[in-house]
Amino acid sequence: MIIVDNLLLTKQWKKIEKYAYFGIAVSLVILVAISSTSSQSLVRIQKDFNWATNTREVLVNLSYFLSSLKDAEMGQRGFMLTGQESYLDPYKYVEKGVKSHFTTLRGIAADNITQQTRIDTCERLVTEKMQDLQEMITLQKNKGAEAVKKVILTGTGKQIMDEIQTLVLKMDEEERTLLDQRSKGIALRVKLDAVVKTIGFILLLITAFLIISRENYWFAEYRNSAKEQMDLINMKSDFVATVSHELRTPLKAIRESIAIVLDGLAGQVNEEQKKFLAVSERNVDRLARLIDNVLDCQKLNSGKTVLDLCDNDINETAQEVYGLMTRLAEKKGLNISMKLDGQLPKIKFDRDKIIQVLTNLVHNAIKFTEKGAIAIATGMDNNVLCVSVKDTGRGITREDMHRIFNRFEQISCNNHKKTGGVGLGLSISKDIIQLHNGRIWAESEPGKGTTVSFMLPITVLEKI
Amino acid sequence: MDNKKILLVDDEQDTLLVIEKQLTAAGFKVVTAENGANALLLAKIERPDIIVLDIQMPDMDGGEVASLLKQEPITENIPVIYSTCLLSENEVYRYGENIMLAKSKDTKELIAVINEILSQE
Repeated sequence: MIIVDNLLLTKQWKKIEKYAYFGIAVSLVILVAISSTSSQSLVRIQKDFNWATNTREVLVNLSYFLSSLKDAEMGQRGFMLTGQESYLDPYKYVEKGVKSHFTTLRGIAADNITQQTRIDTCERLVTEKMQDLQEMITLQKNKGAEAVKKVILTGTGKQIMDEIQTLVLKMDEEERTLLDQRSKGIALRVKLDAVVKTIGFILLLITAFLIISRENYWFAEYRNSAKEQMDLINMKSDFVATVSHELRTPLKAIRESIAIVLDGLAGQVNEEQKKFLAVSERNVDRLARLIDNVLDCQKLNSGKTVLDLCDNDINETAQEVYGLMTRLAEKKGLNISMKLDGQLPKIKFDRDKIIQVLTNLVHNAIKFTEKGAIAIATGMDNNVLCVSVKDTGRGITREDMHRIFNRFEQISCNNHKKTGGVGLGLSISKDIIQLHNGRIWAESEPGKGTTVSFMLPITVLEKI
Repeated sequence: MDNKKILLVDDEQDTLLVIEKQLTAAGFKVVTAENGANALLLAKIERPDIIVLDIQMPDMDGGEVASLLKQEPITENIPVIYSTCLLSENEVYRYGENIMLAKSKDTKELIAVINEILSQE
């Protein structure tokens, strides 16, 4: 069996694949963007946090040092009052730690130039104060407590202390402001990060949604194409295919050859020749129609027919059949008329196939009616669409009624005139209507006439 | 239609003969091919305006030929009318972007379809 490799299918599949990769790429880009922005944000937050921690350290450091200094001063006063060396311990403590303290402080506040300047001033003042205290201690050891009291009363010691206090206060204030700023900064960054993440994820969702819906659509297209392919393969590989080919090919050659000669394309044709060529043509047409009927029946039965369902106007369809059959009816002297309901909605049906059904019904009506009229009617009945073909022909008996839709059944007539055909029309019509999930039936009064009707549901279920 | 060229592809000689005769009488130039390989070759050389392609052929079927035609830049845009014995006379089937006609249809109708496609170009 030869496999049909349809380039269209491959193209469609490649399109689906490419778009999938594109979608993945876009999603990755969005994800990378989100995570890099987020991690950058985190790094800044961490930095700010470290600064904040620093600032707190500085504050603690300052307050601790200030109180140590006050203790040293108090200690000296105590020594002055009592003369006991143990009171000088705090002083000695501060003296030992002054240098390293300022180094530490400088380190913590390294990024702040204003603070550095203040730290320098502070160190100078503190050194002055310590010198001052040292002088008083030495003075006391040499000249006694009274001499020290006089120095204290001058007030310079207190002045320096006040200066130091003010300075430390300023530094404290500065650090607190910085802390506040940095805390606010952190809060803002956290908020921004959340916003960025949310927007990013929404974008991701939208992208995913768009891509998935597009892919769905294309995949449906692909499935349809693949189905067409399968239909073709199925059509080719069975008995109907072989028979179709073997019957139709020679028939076509014959028909066309006759047409060529009749049209004068192979030389002039006289009347006598035309007559007999016309005979051949008529009979070849008969054969062709027979073959079509048999094969249609076979196809419908093998379940291989696919309906081409579209929204169609049944009245339009009826009018087309009317147009086709008018001449035939008039030739037999029959009156043919239409009664179409103007309020009918468009419904889904296979137009060509329904034309086939209607043509068959009208054709039968003409065939079995000798005189009178044929009426085509459309209408709505209980939410279903109804079409009927009524004739004033010889009718169908009760016994024959159940057979008429069978294959190859022809109701024999009392006069020996053969009515032609092979009895497949109604059977095919029935199959077509049933494929549409509709119903077809006949009502008749022998001798008076027959009405064959079919109905199509408003929504026709598609058989896959 | 003045001097439009049609490539007919069919494995049956008689079919080619009768269709060619009528297409020529209708004013078209006709080239014929009896198998897929010839069809592809002639399509490239003759650059027809329309290709009428039989589906059921022994070596390479119509679908394959159409597929190969689509792969060549010279031939990929030539409209193709598929012809098949599998459809009854009044059936018309849309196959992808192309149209599939019953072989049992009169050539006169084939000519009508050809003219319609050419007028849309």
